[in-house]
Amino acid sequence: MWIKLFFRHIARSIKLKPLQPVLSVIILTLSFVIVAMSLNAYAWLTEETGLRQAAAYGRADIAITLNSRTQNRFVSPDEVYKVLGDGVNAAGCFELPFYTADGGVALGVATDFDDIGGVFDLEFTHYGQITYDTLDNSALVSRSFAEKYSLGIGSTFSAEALGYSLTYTVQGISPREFMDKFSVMVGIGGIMRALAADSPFIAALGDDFGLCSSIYIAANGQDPAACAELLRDAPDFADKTVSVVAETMATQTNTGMLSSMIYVLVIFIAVVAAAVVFCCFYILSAQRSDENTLFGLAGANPRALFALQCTEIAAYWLTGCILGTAISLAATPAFLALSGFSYITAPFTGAFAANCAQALGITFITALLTAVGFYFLRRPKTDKNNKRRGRTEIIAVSLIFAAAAACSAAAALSPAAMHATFAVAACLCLLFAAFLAIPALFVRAVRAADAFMKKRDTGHIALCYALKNARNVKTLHNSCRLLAILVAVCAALAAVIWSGNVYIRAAQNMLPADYMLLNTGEETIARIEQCEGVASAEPLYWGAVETEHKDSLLIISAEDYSALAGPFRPDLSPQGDEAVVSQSYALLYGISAGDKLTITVDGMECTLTVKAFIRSGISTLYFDSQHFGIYPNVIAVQGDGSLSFDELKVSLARAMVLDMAVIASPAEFFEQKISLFNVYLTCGNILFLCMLFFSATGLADNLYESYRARREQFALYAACGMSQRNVRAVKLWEIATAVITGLIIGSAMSCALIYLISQWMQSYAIDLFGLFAISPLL
Amino acid sequence: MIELKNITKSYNGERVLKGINLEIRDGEFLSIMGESGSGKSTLLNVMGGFLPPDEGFVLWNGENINAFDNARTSAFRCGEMGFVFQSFRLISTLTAEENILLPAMLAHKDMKQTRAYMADLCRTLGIDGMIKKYPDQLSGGQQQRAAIIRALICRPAAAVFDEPTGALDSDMQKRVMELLRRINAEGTTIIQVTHSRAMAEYGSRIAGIKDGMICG
Repeated sequence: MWIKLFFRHIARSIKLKPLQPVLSVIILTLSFVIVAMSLNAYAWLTEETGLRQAAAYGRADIAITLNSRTQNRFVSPDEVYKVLGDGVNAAGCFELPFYTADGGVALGVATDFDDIGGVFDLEFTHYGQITYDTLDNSALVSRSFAEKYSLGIGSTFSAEALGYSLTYTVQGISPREFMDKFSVMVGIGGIMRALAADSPFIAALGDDFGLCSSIYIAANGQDPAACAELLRDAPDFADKTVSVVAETMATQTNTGMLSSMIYVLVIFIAVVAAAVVFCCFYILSAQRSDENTLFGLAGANPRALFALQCTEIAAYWLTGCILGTAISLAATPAFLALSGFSYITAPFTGAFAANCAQALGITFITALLTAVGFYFLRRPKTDKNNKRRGRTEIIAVSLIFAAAAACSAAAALSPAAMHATFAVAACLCLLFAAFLAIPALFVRAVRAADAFMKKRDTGHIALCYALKNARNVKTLHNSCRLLAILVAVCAALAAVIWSGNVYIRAAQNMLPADYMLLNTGEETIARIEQCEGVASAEPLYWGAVETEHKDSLLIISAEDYSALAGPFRPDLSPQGDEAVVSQSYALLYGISAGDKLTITVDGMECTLTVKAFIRSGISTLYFDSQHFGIYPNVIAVQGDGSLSFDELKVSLARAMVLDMAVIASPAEFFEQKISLFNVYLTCGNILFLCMLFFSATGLADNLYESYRARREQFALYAACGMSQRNVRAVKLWEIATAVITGLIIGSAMSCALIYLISQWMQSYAIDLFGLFAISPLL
Repeated sequence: MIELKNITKSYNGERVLKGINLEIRDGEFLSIMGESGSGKSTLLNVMGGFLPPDEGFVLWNGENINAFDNARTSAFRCGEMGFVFQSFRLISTLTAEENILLPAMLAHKDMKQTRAYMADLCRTLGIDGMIKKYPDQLSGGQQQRAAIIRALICRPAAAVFDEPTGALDSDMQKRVMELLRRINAEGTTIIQVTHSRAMAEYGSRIAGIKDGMICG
């Protein structure tokens, strides 16, 4: 019966003083939404990546591309049928840029419309009619291209491609880019006829020869691996890269780090949210302490009373989760549209429900942490309880590490991953221990300051009484606690984000070039050096290989390493079979100087001897590709300033008409490599802002309540003769005391957190530039 | 001299003080007696400047205390008037000693002399062993005594007491009243509100309040 009365008392309290309960529910709701959307965003990103890859390859099982060893750069899909027979479908693609009249550039592809339909499922929102007569001048465009140039079915547009001015009529508009990258698709015949007009060699190939830079083959039930082997053995394709699409997609989809980063960040969100909800609940409990005491005096069991207070936290949690689910459902379409997800059509799958269930669990942890913290901190301060508290903290920390060890063992994690797991567990322990210890530190600091003031007898009334108040006002202690945790977590996140941005800028500046020419051949460099507007052309080998550890390793080889900016030191230039490896990769796999490494580059096995180590953001290996007969596949071109950026691109395109090389700016070149890193940083930015919001809300609430509950006290100061100015100054000095102490403690904690986070990131062989323990102080 | 001229005060439409006129001479020990709900505490709060009257004014040595600006009000409260509230109203975050010394610190008094005076008063009232404790560690009687000493620490021109002995035993009540008499003899005007005839008779004059009006 009395429990019913107690609940009635709680309900009435909430009605009379709704601020803290409402704030608790809002924080828990937002925490749920952020966690659910983060987990779902990861799932959607993985799905979108898969769908994009599927769009990029269509129904192709095998892809043939040119590489640096390719001697005969003229290849046609007809040669595929000679090797594999007519049971397969092959489509050739000739990638080329279209320069539009407004100075824009659109990436286009020339292909055989019949062949492409046999490998790719092209969809159109609008479609005209392509006849034999209109084949050469028909173009299929993406919706974004059509909208940009206000094109509809039957509209015409002019563009320059390969140095020829061409006019096309739009006969189809696709909802997305073709093969996930091309804005324009035209018939190869028209291009060949344009080329043939100026080149007897092309004219001699005949009307049916479809030049292409890549060929996509649908095996139609045949074993792709076997087909790939046949192609590799065929003379026409021996010097080209023949890859099985399924294997390529598997290595490209590496979201392991994103997933662990999401989980670590949502745990941080849970911790910060728990701290804020704890502060709200602390205030709530203080507001009701008289009434709750009366229940105890009337005979209610104190443990039962405490348990009932915890059910209130559970009620807030449940309400937050229900509201959070509704908000997540409503916000999903807008989120997907704003994030640029274009392939996902059904976001509310079973995975959505599973992720919401995980969010429920994580938000429950938030509420649980609140209840646990509340239990520890509101118990009477008896010697027995103090001893118990010390023991309980040790037990809690031990449990966290034990859980980390158990998870590592159960998941059969590698030593590096275990190292990462323990680093994350240590972060949690640090935050937990700090949460309990900060008020004691704050009081000690205040007492020390108070003693100093007394000794000096400065006569500063306001500061003197602010320090005296700060000793005992729990809401000020909670403000300090919250601020310290906020500063620690946000400073650590900010350091990671800042370092990540530094890494991205460094990566983008690694090659001081205006353009990168990709998939170049042996004779390309000679043509480029003669090209108008070119000051220098540095040949490089730039690629990625999969190591024995199933990691992706960036491999770079340069004739002149002084052309590279960034962390590489030219005095370390590898010669012969020497290799220079990034320090983080070496640390991760215990590689020492003199060790042998074997990598496979363009089908060629290269055994290298490790010579030295450099500090590089991601796993990188520098070697001498020419020693192994591997020719450069990238040319870094620097303009001489006589042509504009776009004019230089046109000049290069004209010089390399038949090289099948791709011209990309360094930003475009690095885009693919750092796009996932950008996603990580975007997630980090969003969660950083969320933490700022949570903590600012909790801090403001705490400080407001601190002064609201002590109105009588400040009135007493005035009654005793303190001037209004001094009363205001006391309040400001109280805030300043809590803020300064919180900043100092938080900064110290952030150093430890950054160290632990850097240990975690090392397990992914990532060494963020300049990221070390004292980064926040720099 | 303290003059109350035609003081009227209402709460929620109900008139608690109805046109009170009262004069208190310098050095007087005035006891105001009345039943519960007669308006005693309200009269004291108006007299001390904590409640503005709806009508009338309070003059301290010819000055209208409700017309004081902030600076004058501060100086008045820490230098010229001491006040003991019915519910003691000690600041919970300060020790008893700090509560007592607060007005003296605000008035920039000489702390050496003030501490000596505080020690004397604390010995007189028997709380010298517990002034380092916080209010929630003191009994009601100890808090009341600390509040009394706080009101007297600056040797104010006048001190106003709302039920100063309500929480004390008879022996301590006598000690408090003897102290007030001693302070009064040194020149401080004392005004106390009490419902005890025995305590009221320590004053040099007794005024009664009934239904918001002075009688007798």
